[in-house]
Amino acid sequence: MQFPRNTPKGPRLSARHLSKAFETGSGQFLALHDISLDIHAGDFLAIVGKSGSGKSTLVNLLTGLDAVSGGDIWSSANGGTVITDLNQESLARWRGLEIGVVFQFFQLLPSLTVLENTMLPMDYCNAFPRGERRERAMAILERLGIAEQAEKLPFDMSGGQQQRAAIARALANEPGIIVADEPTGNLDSSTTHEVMDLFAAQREAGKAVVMVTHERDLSSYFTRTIELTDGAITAELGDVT
Amino acid sequence: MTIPPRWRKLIADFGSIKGRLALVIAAMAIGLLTTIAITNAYAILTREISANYLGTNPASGILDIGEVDQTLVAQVRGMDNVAAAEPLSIVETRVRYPDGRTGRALLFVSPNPLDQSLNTLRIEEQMASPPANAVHLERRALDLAGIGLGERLSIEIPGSGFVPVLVAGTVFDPSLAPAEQEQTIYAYLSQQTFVALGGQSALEWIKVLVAEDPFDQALVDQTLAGIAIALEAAGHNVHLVQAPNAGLHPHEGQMRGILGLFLAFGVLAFLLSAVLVSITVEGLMAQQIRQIAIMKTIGARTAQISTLYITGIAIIAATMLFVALPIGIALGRGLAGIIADLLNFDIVDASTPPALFAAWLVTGLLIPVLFALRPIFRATGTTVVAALSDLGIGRSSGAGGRLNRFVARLFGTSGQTLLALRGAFRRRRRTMMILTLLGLAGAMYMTAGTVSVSYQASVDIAAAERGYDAEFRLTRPLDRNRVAAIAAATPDVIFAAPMMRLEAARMRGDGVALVRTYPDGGHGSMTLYALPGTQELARFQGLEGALPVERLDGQMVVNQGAWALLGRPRIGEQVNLSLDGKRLELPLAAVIRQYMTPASVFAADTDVAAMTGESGINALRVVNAARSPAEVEAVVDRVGQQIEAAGAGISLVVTGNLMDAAVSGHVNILIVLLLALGVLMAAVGFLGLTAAQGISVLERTREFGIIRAIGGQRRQIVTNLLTESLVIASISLPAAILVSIPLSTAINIIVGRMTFGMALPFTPDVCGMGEWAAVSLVGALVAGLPPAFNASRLSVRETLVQQ
Ligand SMILES: Nc1ncnc2c1ncn2[C@@H]1O[C@H](COP(=O)(O)OP(=O)(O)OP(=O)(O)O)[C@@H](O)[C@H]1O
Ligand SMILES: [Mg+2]
Repeated sequence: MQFPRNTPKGPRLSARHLSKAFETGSGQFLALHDISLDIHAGDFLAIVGKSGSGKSTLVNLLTGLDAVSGGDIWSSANGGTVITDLNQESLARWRGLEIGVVFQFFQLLPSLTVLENTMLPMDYCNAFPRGERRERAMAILERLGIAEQAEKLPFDMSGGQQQRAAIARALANEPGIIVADEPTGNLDSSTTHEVMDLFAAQREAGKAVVMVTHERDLSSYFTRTIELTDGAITAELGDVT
Repeated sequence: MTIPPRWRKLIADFGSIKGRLALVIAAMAIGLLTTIAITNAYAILTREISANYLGTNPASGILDIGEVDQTLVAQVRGMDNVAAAEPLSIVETRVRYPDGRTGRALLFVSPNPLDQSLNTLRIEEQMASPPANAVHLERRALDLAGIGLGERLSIEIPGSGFVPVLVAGTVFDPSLAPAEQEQTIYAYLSQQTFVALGGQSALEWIKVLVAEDPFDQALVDQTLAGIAIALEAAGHNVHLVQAPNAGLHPHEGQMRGILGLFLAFGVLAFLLSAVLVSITVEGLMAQQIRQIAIMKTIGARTAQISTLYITGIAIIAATMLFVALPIGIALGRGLAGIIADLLNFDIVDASTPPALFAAWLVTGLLIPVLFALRPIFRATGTTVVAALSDLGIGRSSGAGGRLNRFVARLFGTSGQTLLALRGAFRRRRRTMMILTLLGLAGAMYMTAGTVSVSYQASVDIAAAERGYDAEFRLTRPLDRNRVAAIAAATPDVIFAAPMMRLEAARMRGDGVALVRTYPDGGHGSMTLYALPGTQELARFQGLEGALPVERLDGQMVVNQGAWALLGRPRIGEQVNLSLDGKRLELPLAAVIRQYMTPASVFAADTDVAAMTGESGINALRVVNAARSPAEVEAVVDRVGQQIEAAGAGISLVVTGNLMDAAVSGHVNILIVLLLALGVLMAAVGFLGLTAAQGISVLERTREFGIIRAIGGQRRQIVTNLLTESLVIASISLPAAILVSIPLSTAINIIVGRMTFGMALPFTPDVCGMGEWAAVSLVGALVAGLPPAFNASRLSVRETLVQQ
């Protein structure tokens, strides 16, 4: 397996010949096959495709949430790591520090305030000195425009506010890559654009953003798009390495 | 200082189920404190009973020699392996209480009872300057006697009739059961006083303490037998050797047995309540599975999350321990006090051994954590993808399955009961645990009832089979015809059975009659009845062999108590008995069942006369027309006067009333304790049921929301949930009955063997079963109400917004 060298211009995440098979009642089902992909800093990558084409499955592999059936994933973190070789505990730590995940249904912890939700990744990964965490989290909330909501519980906020809080949490450990699976699927169009602007700002700040979406009219935000059909990349737009 | 968010989350998680958590902590605390109380009582009691008993320097054995003088005592003292020897007499006689009734008394006569080296007595209370010719009573006998210090008690001195004797003080003799339990007055007096009161001058027994290892039973027996053989060789007549269990208080074995039984129940209650922890944590984790996945997504490691919850459980366990420890220790002390009082010994040191303390701390913390590990690891081990794609909370057993099909066949496929049954069994493992808890609680309750009823049944059978109202024991044998004439001449006596009654002991191979009895003659003595015919035996049920038809000639019959003491010989086997040192050897013909009756052996009067030279009548059983206790007393008095007129004294009158009073004390406390344990278990069970229903409501929050959204009413949800609790309680009922049968049979055997050498007759307590049915159904309703109420209060929005 040939992976890129760890250079400032090189990719942050690199996937080679990924495949994923599921055991089903009627035998094996191949959800993804032979996917190769590089993600660079400054990328805003859209993953599109029909329902059931394998978008979520691909995202789950890239974030290490699910195990690959074949192929490898390399990350530039820690001077270069093959994350498909990591055990669950190291994988969790890598994810906490290197990837920020945003879900369609926000998935904030209902018993914690927005501020506490934002501080949680720092707590688990022991990312910053204890005394600084609160300040950092507040700064992120400030940037996302929900500082006034810091002490609220998630269920007491609107969908758009919850998604902002979820993005704040994804940014907590200053990860290199943000991965979002249909983050605007539950939002109205004006809120959708506000959220998309937040992601775009992250991209401009030098992070990579990977987003699964169904919505065609967002294409102006993306620097690259790949389309999946039946588990394979069938079209690529933009500067794919 | 702010609490890190992950700990805030843990607190919030536990806070969200604080009601249920409180119930579980309460249930666990009850189980734990029961265990602590019983182990504490066990540790204190076994230590103190030994300390009390060994503190008196108990004799290894007592030899009945008939006549003992100073030279003989000195001679025994000089024998091999003898550390100490002292003379004494134990005189079985009667007292007349201030109210006119007569009762049994044991007089312990020795040269200087208050200053002896073996079986020492401790003075409890004493008159300022005790006058001469006064006695001391055992401390518990004063109340029974119904007199105070410095007053006189009428004691019958053999040969001199009833003599008013001044009671100068009380002493503590830990080797004796409380006077009121045995209905016996224990009095201690000097040889000099005894003679002054009109008693015979010679002492009859020698107490011996062996030098080398007084706790080695075989060695003690061998030494005592050696002394007996040496004395026989020197021309003395050793009638009997009493060798109590070496170093053991007479009630120690029983006490350990009963406490062991309770301990088993206590531990069971604790383990079952620990299972509740497992159930509750499982419910909590099921609710948390999605959130755990989210935490992992943002970088939490499995170990971190597991540690979080394990720490939480450990904190809860510590809280529970904190609650249970002081209460359990106090209860244990209380229990120890009650039992010590029951067995007449003092608790000098009520402290808990440090090792036990450590054991409680370890089990109290460890067991709940151990029981929580499985559900915690199961939840934290679930992969993120699996957890996030799992829509419901937890997987239900669904509509399929054998159980459901069975239920459907029973009740049809629609209706409230079926819904409730489905609901009750959607979490099969949890339901099973609750069923086990409730079943065991019910079983315990019913067992207490059944043992009590069985015990009463054995008292009733004994009373019905006894067939006499009073038994007179004569101080000297009289001629048969003479006794028959007395009985016939007394008005109201409608039947009289004259017989010869002798103390018997199993004779060892070396010819020595050695019995495991204590100085009071209890625990292991045997009585031989020389009978003219088998008439007296015919009403008892046979256990082994066949009862000879008319006469017992050439054969021997024993009851189950004697059979056990003789080592359960086979039918036809020769049995060797020593009657006051004389040998009676006869083949065993039959074993009969006599409830509430001490070990007894029956033989033909002619055989006894031929082999031992003992003939005549020294006991008379009468049946009289009068039945009230007062009338019986009157008849007893009249017959007594006639016997005395005929030239024989009366050493004792045993009436049915007296016997019934003497045996019930021990058993009542056992039944009360069993009931208490049943109630504790029930508390654990119903707390568990409430907790389980609470979890089940939690898991079905969405389901209830949807039911409400499509038009279901609150009332229907409440009814549905209450029916579920009732269904679980009703299923536990037959389970409880089933478990109670072997359990009460086992306790019937233990209690029966302990008292009279055979199991109590199994008699189910139907009333108790009804009571438990009522208690469990009401309990189920009460337990089901809070969760049902909570479920009905959930708003639709609230239920559907939760994922
Ligand atoms: N755990 C699983 N077991 C079996 N098959 C699965 C599993 N997860 C996903 N699949 C299948 O893999 C394929 C890809 O699923 P995936 O969720 O990635 O689709 P998607 O492109 O995200 O669709 P959508 O746009 O509806 O979210 C689908 O056909 C799906 O049924
Ligand atoms: Mg998807």
